[in-house]
Amino acid sequence: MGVKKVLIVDDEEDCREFVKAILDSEDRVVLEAKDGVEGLDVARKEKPNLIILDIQMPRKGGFRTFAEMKSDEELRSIPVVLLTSVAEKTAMLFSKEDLKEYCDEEPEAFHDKPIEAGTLLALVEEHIR
Amino acid sequence: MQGRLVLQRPGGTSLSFPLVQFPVTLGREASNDITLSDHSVSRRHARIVSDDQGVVVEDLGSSNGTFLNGNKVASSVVADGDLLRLGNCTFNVELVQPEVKRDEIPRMDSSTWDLSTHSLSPEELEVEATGISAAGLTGASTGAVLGFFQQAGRILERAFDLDELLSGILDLTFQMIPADRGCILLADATTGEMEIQASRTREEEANDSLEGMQISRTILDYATREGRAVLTSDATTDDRFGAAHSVIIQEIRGAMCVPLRGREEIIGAIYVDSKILSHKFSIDDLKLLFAVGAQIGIAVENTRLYDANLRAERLAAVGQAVAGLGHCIKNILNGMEGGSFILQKGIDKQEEPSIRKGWDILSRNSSRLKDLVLDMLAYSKPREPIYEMVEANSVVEDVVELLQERANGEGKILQFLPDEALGEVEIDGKSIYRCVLNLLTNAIDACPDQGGTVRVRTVRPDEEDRFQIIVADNGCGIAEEDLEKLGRAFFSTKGSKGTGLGLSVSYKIVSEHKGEVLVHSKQGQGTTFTVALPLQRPSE
Repeated sequence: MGVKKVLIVDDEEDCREFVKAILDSEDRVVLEAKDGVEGLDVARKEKPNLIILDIQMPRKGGFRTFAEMKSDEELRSIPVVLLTSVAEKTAMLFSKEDLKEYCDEEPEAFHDKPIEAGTLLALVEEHIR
Repeated sequence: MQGRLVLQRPGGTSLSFPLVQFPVTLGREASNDITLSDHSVSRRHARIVSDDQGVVVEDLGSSNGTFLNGNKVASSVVADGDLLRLGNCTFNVELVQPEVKRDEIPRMDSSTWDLSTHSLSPEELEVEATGISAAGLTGASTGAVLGFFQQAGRILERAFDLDELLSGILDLTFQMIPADRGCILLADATTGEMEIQASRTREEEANDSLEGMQISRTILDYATREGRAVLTSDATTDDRFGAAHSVIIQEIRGAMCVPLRGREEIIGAIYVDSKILSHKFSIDDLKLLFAVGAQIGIAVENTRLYDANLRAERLAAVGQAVAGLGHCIKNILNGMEGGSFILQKGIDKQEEPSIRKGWDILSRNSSRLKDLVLDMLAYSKPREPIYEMVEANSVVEDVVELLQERANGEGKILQFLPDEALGEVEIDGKSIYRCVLNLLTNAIDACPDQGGTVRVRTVRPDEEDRFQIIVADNGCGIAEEDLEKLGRAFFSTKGSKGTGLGLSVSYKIVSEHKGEVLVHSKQGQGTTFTVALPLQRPSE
């Protein structure tokens, strides 16, 4: 089994660093992007084995990025973990429920922020292809 | 035994209620024989009965009690000269009065009145209402009628507050109709009982003291049950009310009552009456009152709906604020969790760079938490500006200096173009500093990393008593659908960088200074915020 690529798309550097530290291992490489626009670029170029996607980001948020991935033949099969920060639907924040307004498909997993290292690692190992 | 209760009112006037038939009930609800519009009086407060002991007052389980000569009583015989108190209403009990006989009440000749024409259904009235003749209105001219409806329209347009709406309509009604007393009653949402919501009397001094406002329950019942507009010129002789109890007690000489119709049912009534024989109501008075009733029924319903919506909106806003706050704190917690994870890893592996990185992340997030708390406090505290004379340019310059390094570090240009003619202004320097800091931070965040430019200007337009602070960036701009949400607490387009409080705080500070914020934005081209502030402390 070769080295697998995980792409973390999050506008917050701290969060990217955290994910990098969690996933740090010899058989994985972590790629970074700081918003959806960059995320789609990197994904097309690198074809990662899994994408971890934040929802609230400037320029292009996680939902729109996810919807665009799912309509892109090259990217649609890449598993995605969406990082949500609120569990309930509210008028202006983003939760699982709000995804339906962008896209009919669902990601492989949702993970609520703050991230716990063990849970995220388990999710990544479960879904990575 | 017969007698009367005399209610003492401020200004030395009094109202007397004859005790003719027993029992006589007293309370706030309109279904009582004596209705007392006083919030310290219970809906059904007390009653007066006549038994073999004599005249007895019985408390009906009221909240504030019934007092006879200062002593709280559950049931007690009352004697002539006693003082009876319910809430704020004190009555002198007079029991050795010469008997009040119906025959002694001067009567109006009712033979000329065809009673059936003085109670009209809405359909009948609606046809006739267009024909209101000013000549028939006892107190008004044609111009006054037109003016009345114009004014009523204005009140209906503007009133979002039920009390304001009702008392405005009553005042207007009194200008047009020669009533001595008038009130608007609305059905209680749960019990369906009619309760007085607004009332007034013709006598000036009694305007503020609504106690003693009693209405004929018989006439009210008839109007609301039958849904008809009722006019009676001499209620004491009107056959429809028989020897009805409440009509006799109150010695009503002329009364009108029209139902208030909501969309589906009768929601209340307007009632006016007169005790003076010379004040007779005409059929045109009734038409006018009916027209008022038709207008305000829907308005009252709308106002009640508006109130309910407002409450729901407030609750939703609280919910959003809590959710927004939770979101923001979770982001910070995420950073702290990450920082400590990396720090731990560094310690375990004895790796200096990881330790440093983890520590940096931890301390950065603790200062974010501090900023959030400061913003929250600034946002939640209603605060009067602490005015002082300061150089407006130097306040702005301080902010620019603070942020210059950060902007340069991100490859952005931050320029300050002061209007040298501005000089000293009277503002709360610290608040305005915070306001400009938030605006500038947003502008820098909105700019692309390379080639972003933020320009801050101060301007003092000639012949204006205001100056402007203008913050313009060539950044991403604000989407049209987001523009209206600007300044709403916890609304942020910055992703996890923003708390959604910065701009709300800025807006609040400007409004505390009685200033204005104008936003001009084009997506992809940039945003300009213009803050206009008075040069001097605005007079109250």
